[in-house]
Amino acid sequence: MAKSATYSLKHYPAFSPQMKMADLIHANYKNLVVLSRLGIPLGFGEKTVEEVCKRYSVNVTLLLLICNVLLDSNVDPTEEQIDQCPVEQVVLYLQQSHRNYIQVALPNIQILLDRLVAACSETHGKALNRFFNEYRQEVESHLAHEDQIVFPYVMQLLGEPKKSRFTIRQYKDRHANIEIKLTDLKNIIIKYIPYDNTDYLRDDLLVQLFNFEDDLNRHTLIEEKLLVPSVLRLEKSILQS
Amino acid sequence: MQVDGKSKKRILLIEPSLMVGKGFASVIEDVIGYQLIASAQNASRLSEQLLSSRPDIIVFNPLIMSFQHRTSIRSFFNIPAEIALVALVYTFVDEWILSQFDAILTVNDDQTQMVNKLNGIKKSLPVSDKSKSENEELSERENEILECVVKGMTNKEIAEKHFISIHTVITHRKNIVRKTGIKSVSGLTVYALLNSLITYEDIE
Repeated sequence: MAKSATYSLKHYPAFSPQMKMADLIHANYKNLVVLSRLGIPLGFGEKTVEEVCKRYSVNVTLLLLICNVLLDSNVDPTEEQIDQCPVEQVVLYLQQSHRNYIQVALPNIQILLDRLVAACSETHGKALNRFFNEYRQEVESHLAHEDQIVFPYVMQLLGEPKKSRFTIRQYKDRHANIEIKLTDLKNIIIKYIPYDNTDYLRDDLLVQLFNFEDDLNRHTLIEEKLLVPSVLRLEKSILQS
Repeated sequence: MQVDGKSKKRILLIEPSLMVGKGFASVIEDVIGYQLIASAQNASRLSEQLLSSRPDIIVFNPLIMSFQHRTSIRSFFNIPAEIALVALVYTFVDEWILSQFDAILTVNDDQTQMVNKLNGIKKSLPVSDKSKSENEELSERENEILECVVKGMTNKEIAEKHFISIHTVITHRKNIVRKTGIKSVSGLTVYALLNSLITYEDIE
């Protein structure tokens, strides 16, 4: 395991390997999902971040990098830090995030949306439903592209790299449409759905949409700041060998 | 003053370039038929001019403002809501600076474009008892354009149908997106359905 000094973040040393894992969550509750996605269950008592990571074989630099990017999107990992993060764990984190979106986040949003649709007039409900289905399909097909093409590609680079027409450069900036539709959806719900009740249904739905958007944005950051540079390097080293 | 197009609009011009200012003056009076009541090369006396000359429209080059005030021209000079604020632009100016203006004139605009843009403001000007600085509801025209957009018409088709330039169609579309916050066509379709601009059958 690397010495602790090497992974204090250059610009934003917000979290350290020596802090208590519990404090990492108190400091920013959004770190909860990071632990789940990296396979670390709660209940770690007074153990430090470093100790808990060791116990679950999670790379501590990776965990702290993700937490720091969640806290401040301006954080840029150094080359050294990128080198220290095992690519397969980065991929695992991203895959688990996808699973979380598909199995939890989107279905939860769907439940609230269905309730809102049921409370609207038929035409309005149909319109809203139609738009959300379109959005959901776009998200799912985007995630599926990564799950079926990008991640397997990265994993085979780690094993026995075969000739592939796909390179990581082709995978950049495919998120734009999803972001636009999500903003549209929020605006439609905030501004135009004629729903006069104040029973928190619409609020709950919006909070979920904002959270989902936030999570997706951070997800993109991890892909751009961690996955892409580290795969670029991997590709380069394979080409050279 | 909103809808009556026959009365001569009174314009106040703030433009640093003497040549551009003179040129604008002659175009606005001789070609468009509006009245230029005052012009200045800087905005130092704008507040007094507003009181003394009571213009309908202020045509303003945003670049004369210092950077930190460039986005809040209306509030900086306390320009009343019933006076339209129009940008005069001939260099690159950021979108977020331009977004505060009721219309944007560029030096390349031809007569039709100028008239369209200046007439376009009249509709969206708030009625005088509203204290809001900007009317953000979609105008009649914007609703018409939106209806065409969600029915799948191209900019060219829309321009031909409404006898306006493609450029004007694009300006309307930008304003629609800015006001509603909805960018995707399918999102705008939902907007149009919710506001009964189209029926569900139109898009089935």
